[in-house]
Amino acid sequence: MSKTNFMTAFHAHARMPHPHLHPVNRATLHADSALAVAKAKGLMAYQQYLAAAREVKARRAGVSASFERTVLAQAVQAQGDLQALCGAALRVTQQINQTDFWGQIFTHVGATLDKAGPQHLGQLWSEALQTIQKHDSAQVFANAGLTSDLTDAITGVMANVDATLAKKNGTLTVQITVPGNKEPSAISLLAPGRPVMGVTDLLRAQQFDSIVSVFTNNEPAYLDVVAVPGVAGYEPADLTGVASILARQRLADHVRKLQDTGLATYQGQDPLSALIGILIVGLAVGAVAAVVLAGCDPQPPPEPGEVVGSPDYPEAVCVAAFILLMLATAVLGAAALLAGSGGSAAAFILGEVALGGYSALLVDLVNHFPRFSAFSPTAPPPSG
Amino acid sequence: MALSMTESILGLSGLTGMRANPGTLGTPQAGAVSLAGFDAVIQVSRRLMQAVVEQSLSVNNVDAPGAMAPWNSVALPASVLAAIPPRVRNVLSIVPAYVEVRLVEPYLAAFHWPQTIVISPTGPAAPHVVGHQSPSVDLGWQLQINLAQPRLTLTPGETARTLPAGSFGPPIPPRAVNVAPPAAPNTDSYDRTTLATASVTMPATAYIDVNTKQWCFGVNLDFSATSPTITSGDTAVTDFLTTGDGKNLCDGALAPLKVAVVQLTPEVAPGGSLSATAAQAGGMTPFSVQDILLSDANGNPVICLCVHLGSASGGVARLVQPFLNFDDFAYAVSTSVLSPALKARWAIAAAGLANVAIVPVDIPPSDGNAGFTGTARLRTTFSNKLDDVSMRAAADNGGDTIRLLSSMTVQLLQLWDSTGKQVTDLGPLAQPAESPLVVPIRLFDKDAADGAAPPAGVANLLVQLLATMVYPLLNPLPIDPTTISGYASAALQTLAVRWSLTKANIVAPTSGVFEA
Repeated sequence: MSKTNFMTAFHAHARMPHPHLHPVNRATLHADSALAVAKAKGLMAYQQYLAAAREVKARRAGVSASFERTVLAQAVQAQGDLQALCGAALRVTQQINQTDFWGQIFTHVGATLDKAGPQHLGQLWSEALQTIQKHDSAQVFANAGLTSDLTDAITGVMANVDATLAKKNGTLTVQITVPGNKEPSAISLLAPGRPVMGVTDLLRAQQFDSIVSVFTNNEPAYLDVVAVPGVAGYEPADLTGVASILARQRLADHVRKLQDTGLATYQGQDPLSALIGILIVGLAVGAVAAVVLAGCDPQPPPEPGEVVGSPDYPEAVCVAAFILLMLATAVLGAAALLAGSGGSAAAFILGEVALGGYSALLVDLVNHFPRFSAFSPTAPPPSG
Repeated sequence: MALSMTESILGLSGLTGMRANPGTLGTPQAGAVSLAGFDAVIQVSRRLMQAVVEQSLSVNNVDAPGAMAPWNSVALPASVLAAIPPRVRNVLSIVPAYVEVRLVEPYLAAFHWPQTIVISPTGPAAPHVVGHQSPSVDLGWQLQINLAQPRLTLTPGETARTLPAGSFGPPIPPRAVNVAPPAAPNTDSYDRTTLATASVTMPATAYIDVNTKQWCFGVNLDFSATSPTITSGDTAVTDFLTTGDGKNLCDGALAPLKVAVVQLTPEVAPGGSLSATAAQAGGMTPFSVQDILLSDANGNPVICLCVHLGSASGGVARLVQPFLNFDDFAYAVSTSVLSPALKARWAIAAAGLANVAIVPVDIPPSDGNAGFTGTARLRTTFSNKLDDVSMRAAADNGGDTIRLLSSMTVQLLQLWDSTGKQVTDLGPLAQPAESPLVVPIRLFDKDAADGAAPPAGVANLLVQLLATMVYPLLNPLPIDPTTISGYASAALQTLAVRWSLTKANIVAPTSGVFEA
């Protein structure tokens, strides 16, 4: 692992004008970021409450049904918070996707990694945190929602993220080592705008906007993340979508487990594992970083290619936000790897299939029951 | 693991288990479902067993077993002769007639199981041992002593002559009359006059029949050692059965029943109708099945089949509770059984399945070419291999999702730009590509908006998959689709289904006892 300070290398080897988020709706960006931060804090508070409730149940060797119902009510509330957090983070990503920002960030981070070598994500967070906590920066980040209690919580989560950001074969790569696996697992991070590699690539590219709509409007659609080998890499939007779906599924599993079997007294028995904390951090940090970066842009926006300074914030603040957004993307990549099949070199696609139609099929099925018998080796087609 | 989970469920009466309908708590009284460590539990009502027994008797051609002899060849006691109506007696010399002993209107009279679980409001009590060595069922019949006269059938071109006005008796037969041989009495071939009746109770041994090759099982009845108990207050019956002819006719009526294999429960086939080859190709793990007798809250018998896969033995029969909830059939199944069942069904139904559809696509800009929103004609070819079956928790209260994961090959056949002009150079898009195929099924979400009807081939696949989940039976039975209910639990990886038979055509038993 490189001992070179990433920030130092960034300034020395990849000094650049402030990245531009253009065009973005700053008002909705602020609103979504604030929502994401508020819900992330709520979810982290729920995790703390859950740990305390587990401890009480274990200590008392059982609790009342009322206690269980209270935990369940809190879990359902957390489910709503997560839905809102994911929707906000997805909308922020959707806006950034329509700018040239990802290309800038990938280029400059890649150039920095060429000089500084692979960077541990915990180290990146520590370096960004130094800037965040400086006197002239702290208020900017606090105004964006990154208050000291949240940074403490993020620091706690990042301590469990054993992942590295590196550049391999010209591509940014997130790499993790899963206990029990000899070979590290890795996924590549891709900037949007690359040529379509095939027909499934084409179809997959269209899914992100659908996912944003599902989360924003609470649409009754089935979303899934499926591990598949051989996918070249992921754009930030892919990772935000994957993270949102994974987090929603984990929390749904958690709520269902509370409903069906009650509160587990050991954290390891619960789907609400450390993974969801990582996902929450990735989604929330990205939203905070985006809104700070938006403040780094002058108004009116510069012409393409025009080099301008920051109108409002010290440069260190903008660079820290820049790194935070890269960090958030990398954290979501690491979470996707952790959630993969046994930590193997699996990748993900987003799956969305509309629900409905089964009740009609059930009736249709019943109408054909007499033909579903031992005497017909295969079932007939439905009526029509 | 399964046992500790089960005990945890039982301890949480307020939150327990799966629910009969979303939004209701699954208290034992409402029919909470527990596998009690088994891989599947099937529960069957008395009404359904009655329907299956009737069906099975009919298939074996013993739904009304009987034996007959020419009436003048049998020494009938005076009490029987006295029962013959005068108008029939008048024509006996001119029309062939037979004395018949016949069993009709079978019903399940009583159930005797070595261990009967008595359910109290506070939970299962200790098993109540009733002293029977092996499970048995008493099948009740009505015994009839009939005078049977062949029903006349006409050869083409002939008409029946009628009796002169004021005369009594059946129509005078035409010259050519086809008479069914007495050795094979047919329900529709005779006009019967019942002279006397009695009640017959026939005990039959109930045994589990597991067909490993075709991955199905059920409970059958063995009448081979049956010794009927005949009760009647009519002296004509007792007089007749004490004669040698009467006893022979009675034995003759019972003979076909003694060699018949009669089903008590439907044949349960979690994978549907599978050939031995398909079951072998699917690598189906053999079942071991245990039958227990439960009683529901109203004291009605419930036969319960508790299933293990392979050498598993984690089930605890005393923890199994009735969850029929006044329906006729209940099926609780874990993904350990559901998964191979659906995989086997998928392998049959998805083989060669392909679909062509026209969809909108966004072609991104590349290599200096502007992107466009166009239209693509895609062909998707389903894999015949179902890779995974799991239950995923849903965020709402509509029941969890049964997620099927397979793969498909996607090929772009044609592409048109936004003006409708066909794009001829498809480049890398022309190459077929493998893609995962996720099929989420929420069986009981009645609130979900119905989507567009799937193409016929896909609909056929879905219907077969639904049948595997809802109707894992080989017997065709008339069920009421409005009664289908159930729940899927991601936490327990268990699906529960219940339904009732249609009200019509099923005759509920009107008598009989249940030994509890």
